[in-house]
Amino acid sequence: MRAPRSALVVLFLTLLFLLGPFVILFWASFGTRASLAFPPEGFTVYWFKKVLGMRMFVDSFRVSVLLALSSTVAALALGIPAAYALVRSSFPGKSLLELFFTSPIIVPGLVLGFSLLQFFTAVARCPVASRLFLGHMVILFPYTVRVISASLRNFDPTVEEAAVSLGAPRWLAFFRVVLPNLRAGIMAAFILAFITSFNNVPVSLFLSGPGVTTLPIQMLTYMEYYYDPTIAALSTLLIFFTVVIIQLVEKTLGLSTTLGG
Amino acid sequence: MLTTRKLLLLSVPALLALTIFFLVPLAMTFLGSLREGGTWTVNRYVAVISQRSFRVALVRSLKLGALVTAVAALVSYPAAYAISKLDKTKRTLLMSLIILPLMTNPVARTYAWFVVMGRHGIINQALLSLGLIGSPVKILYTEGAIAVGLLQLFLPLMLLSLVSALENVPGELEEAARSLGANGMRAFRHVILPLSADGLVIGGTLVFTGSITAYVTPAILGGTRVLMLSTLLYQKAMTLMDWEGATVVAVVMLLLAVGLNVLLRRLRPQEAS
Amino acid sequence: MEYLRLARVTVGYRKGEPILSDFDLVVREGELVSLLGPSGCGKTTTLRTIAGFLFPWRGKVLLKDKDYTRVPPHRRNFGLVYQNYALFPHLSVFENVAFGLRMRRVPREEIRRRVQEALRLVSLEGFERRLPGQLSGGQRQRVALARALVMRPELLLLDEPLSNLDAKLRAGMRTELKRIQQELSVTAIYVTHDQAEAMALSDRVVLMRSGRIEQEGTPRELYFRPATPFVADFMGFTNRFTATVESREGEELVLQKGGIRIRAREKDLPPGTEVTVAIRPSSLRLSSPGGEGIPARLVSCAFQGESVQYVVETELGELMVVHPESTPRFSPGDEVVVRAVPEEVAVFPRKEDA
Repeated sequence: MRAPRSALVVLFLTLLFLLGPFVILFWASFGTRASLAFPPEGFTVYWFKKVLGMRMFVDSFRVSVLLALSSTVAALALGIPAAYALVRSSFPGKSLLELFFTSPIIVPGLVLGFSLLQFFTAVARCPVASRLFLGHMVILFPYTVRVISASLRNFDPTVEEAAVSLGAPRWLAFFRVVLPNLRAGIMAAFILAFITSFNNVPVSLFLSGPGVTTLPIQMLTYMEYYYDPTIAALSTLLIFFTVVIIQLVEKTLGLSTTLGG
Repeated sequence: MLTTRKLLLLSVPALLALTIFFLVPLAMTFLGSLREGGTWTVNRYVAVISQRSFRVALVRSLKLGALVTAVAALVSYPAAYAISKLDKTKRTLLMSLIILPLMTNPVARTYAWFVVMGRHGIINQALLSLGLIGSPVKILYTEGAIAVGLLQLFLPLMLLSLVSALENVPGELEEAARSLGANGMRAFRHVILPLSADGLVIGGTLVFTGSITAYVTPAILGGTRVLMLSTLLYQKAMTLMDWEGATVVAVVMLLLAVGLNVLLRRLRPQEAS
Repeated sequence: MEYLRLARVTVGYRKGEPILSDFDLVVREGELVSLLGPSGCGKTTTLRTIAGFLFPWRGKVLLKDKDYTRVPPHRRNFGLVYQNYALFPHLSVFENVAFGLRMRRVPREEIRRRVQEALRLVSLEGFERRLPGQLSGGQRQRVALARALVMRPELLLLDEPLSNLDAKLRAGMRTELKRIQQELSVTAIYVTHDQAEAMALSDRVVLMRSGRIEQEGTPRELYFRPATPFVADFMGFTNRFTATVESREGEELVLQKGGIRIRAREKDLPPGTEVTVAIRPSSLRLSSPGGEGIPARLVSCAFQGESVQYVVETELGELMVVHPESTPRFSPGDEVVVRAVPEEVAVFPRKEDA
């Protein structure tokens, strides 16, 4: 049964609404004038060159990438054992634990960022970079746990048992038999967490500090004073960066899955 | 042999991390809002609630949240319905197109609206050239601008939720309804809507919660004049140094978000996600 | 001679709900013992306790007099074969079979040799490079078997390994399995709910019910001399009715119910004892009225290919009779006479049992 014409029209308009702004952004980043007029006049890659040369953006980009990488790895390191514990066991109160592990998603990022700032100022003084790392690790954790749990649930527990019966202690069975088959899940979790961290504003907003700022925050600061296409160009670059990341991770972790069967 | 105890040990690192860097800070904030000068009191709340800026921000947040959710639902249903009827390849392609905005930087996403809604933006240029207005209209820094920005931000969530719910409605049921005489709208009301209500509730909660707690969109499109709870929180904390007031706003946001989630669980006895 | 012993084992999955209580089992070297029974009888629990995935709450597991009760599963040299094969999906057939040897750090050359040997044993030479996803059900099961056997296990534990295969394949694999087990003289414990399978494969059968052993013995013993009505029922003694012992005539017991007399070659029971009588459909014979036997009326007959199944109505209730012929000799409504062979009638004194 096909959908009625009207529904398809709504779908088309919706897609236009969702994706149109990106196209406009893309277009605007090539304009010559130093203000955000539309349609943009002329064509130039000046803004792209400018962005790539600006210290504040290059530095904050580096911070964002390192932060995303480290907090994603940490979230996975916490999430994989936690997921295993949740999926392979049953005990009273398990759903409560699951709820607790998911709760960082429910709490507004801004509130958490604010609370963490208070916490780090009053209770546990530590460098800005560590604060960002810890804050991101916490908000990424629910994603890794959820995705890995879903993957684990699809994996037959008797295969693990077979490995144990053949002489592999439980931990070795996990690394040799379970983990290789979780590749797809780990890859999905990695992409999701990395992007969530990279794009995060609420937590980074409160935890960033002098010298250690993430890219989105830096962009916001810049926008408080300037309205030129610099940000447009940067935004365009970022969108492509996101696409590249997804492809990259898929190629490295994904291809091996296909090869390994 | 793997005992439950050993398994639980595996979740200890995560438990520790979450407790120290999540539970404790939030508890501190919550408890802190109830203390003043060494005693337990609700003075802070009274003080904040008596501020006009807070009341305005609260009402605005709830209002815009409801508006965005309603529009999202209205628009998403037909769109999601159309998607659910497409073949696998087209559906996957469309879904990735819809998910794509979710993966992009919120600053970038919201910035695009700047270009569209600015004094020299598309809308104004179009209206000027069509002769409908004499001079540029102020679109930015209004509630409407924020609403549009929020809509673009959260529409994908509602769409995803509805597509997934609609996919679970067996096509035969619709056909059966048709064969029994129910035309489009009635088939929708009596068959499709009730069966996909689950997705509507999930999506609605996500959109509503997201809208009232989002920061980037109100910050960029609303500025410092048109405040929502999130931008108010930031202003109090970082600009006005009204730490105590900020704590209260934070707790209000927290309670709203958590409360909505609890409501969601009550409305849906069957767990999914 | 006594190879494996479970001594007074009490075990379960949830505290306070034991599945086995004070359970005893002895397995002799080289024999294939089946744990047979309906779902929930505890046969899989027994197997998992032997394998070490469940530690007994009380009691011991002894192999060749060594106490294995608390030995973790990866340190027992037992081969496990699962119903769903449990092959490692990301490893080739060769790597699957070699897995246990790699765990033991067996030198590479020896691994190669032993894996080839194991694959030859299960008739899968040439399949080394394939992945489990590329194999059929029967092939996967053979890989699972090779993987368990290559370790030269002290015990082979099989949990309904053939249940996922279609009937024809199952029969073939059954013969293969028995051949391999005997060739290698591996002591094996085989869990199944299929009595025909247990009969065909086992040296001894242990029929379980609700965590207890209902009867154990050779297949013939269970088949011809069931110890309780439950065993009889499981072994196909479909016809059941109650009766009273009337007298004894020579080797035979005479039972009567409602004026009808049945003879059974059974042990002595005092006259007046209430009993349950169980008879296989294939132990009954129909003939035209006028002969010796119980008067009956034919209710239905069903063609089953190599046999015909009759249902008759008698004073004893409804009885099922199976004749090894292809064409029914009677039609529904006919008056007939039913006879039983005394040696094949099972009699059980009535207790509070069904």
